[in-house]
Amino acid sequence: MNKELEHQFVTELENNQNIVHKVCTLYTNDRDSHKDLFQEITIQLWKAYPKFRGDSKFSTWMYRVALNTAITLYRKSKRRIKTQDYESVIFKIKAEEYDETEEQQLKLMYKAVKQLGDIDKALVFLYLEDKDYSEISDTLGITEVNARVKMNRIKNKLRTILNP
Amino acid sequence: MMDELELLKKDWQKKEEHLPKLSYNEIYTMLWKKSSSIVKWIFYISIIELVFWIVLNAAPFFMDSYQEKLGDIDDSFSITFIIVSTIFTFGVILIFIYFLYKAYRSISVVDNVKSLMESILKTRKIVQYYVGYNIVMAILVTIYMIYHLFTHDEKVMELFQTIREEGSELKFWLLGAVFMVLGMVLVVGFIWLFYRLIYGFLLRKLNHNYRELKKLEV
Repeated sequence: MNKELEHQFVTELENNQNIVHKVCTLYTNDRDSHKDLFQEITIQLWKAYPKFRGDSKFSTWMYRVALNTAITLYRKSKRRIKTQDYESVIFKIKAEEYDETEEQQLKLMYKAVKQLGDIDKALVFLYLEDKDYSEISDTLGITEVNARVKMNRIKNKLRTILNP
Repeated sequence: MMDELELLKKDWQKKEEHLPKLSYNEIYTMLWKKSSSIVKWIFYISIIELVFWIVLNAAPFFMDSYQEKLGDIDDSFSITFIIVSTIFTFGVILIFIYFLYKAYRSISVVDNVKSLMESILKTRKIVQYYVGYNIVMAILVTIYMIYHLFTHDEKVMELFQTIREEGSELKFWLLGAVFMVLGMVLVVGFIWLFYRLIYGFLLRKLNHNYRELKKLEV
């Protein structure tokens, strides 16, 4: 494998690593698994990189590979941790920025999102990343209508969690 | 009331500063680490399965007793039959290897989530068909061998003659059939259980997620 390709790839990934970290945060529950999944995604990205033609943006391409790895290829079973220490570190919210109820709401919502199934999580993730429904449906391989319907259901679910 | 998810979206996009940050070198070293993806595991297991059945198919050719028997055969029909069945057996193996290879090549991490799952499940199915084919062949060969024993082996024929004279023929067939079926159920059951364990464990998450994705379509 030539050096230039390596350098190009690592630089691109370094600049876009947030995407991978965010996927890892959603799909794992502790620091070790986070790192492990990050590594697996990096390996998969690297393996697929020679075929990356640049027809799409590097970041767009990354979303697919990262989600595919987290949902399908990553084998290690998730350790379900009840106490969410790690999460509170990652999603640390500066208290002064929010009034208490809003902070409380967000905490509850993050918790709820973490408890969703792998597919639902992917939908929410792409939504939070401000992707439109055509890109969401493209990434998941479902129709746009189905993506919308599902997203509405998830919204309602979150609403009931917040306003019981 | 503001859309709850919009609230979350805003907050989510502010979170970037709290994410871990890896250095160039940290990422670089990751390139050379070994993957532990399920595709790799399924690939290794498929290879083991193929080799296992190929060895099982080829083993008789290397056994002395089989070679002796081959030497004894002089009628042209049997010889043709052996040649044809050997070519057939290895032809089938080659065809399976070809399809398996093609299926693996079609697994792409750049596909959409659903297609990736489908191509992995399809690859899995090809190995399953191969194993199924071997089980069916094993059952057919067993039945043929038993038939052959009763029509060609003198000792067995003699024994059967005495059973017939004693009048317990029906009992003999019934008992024989029960044992045959029991034996087959045991062997096939064992192989099935073995598969359930390996692939159940390996594909549990994939199957679960695939069902979830499928549910979105109804």
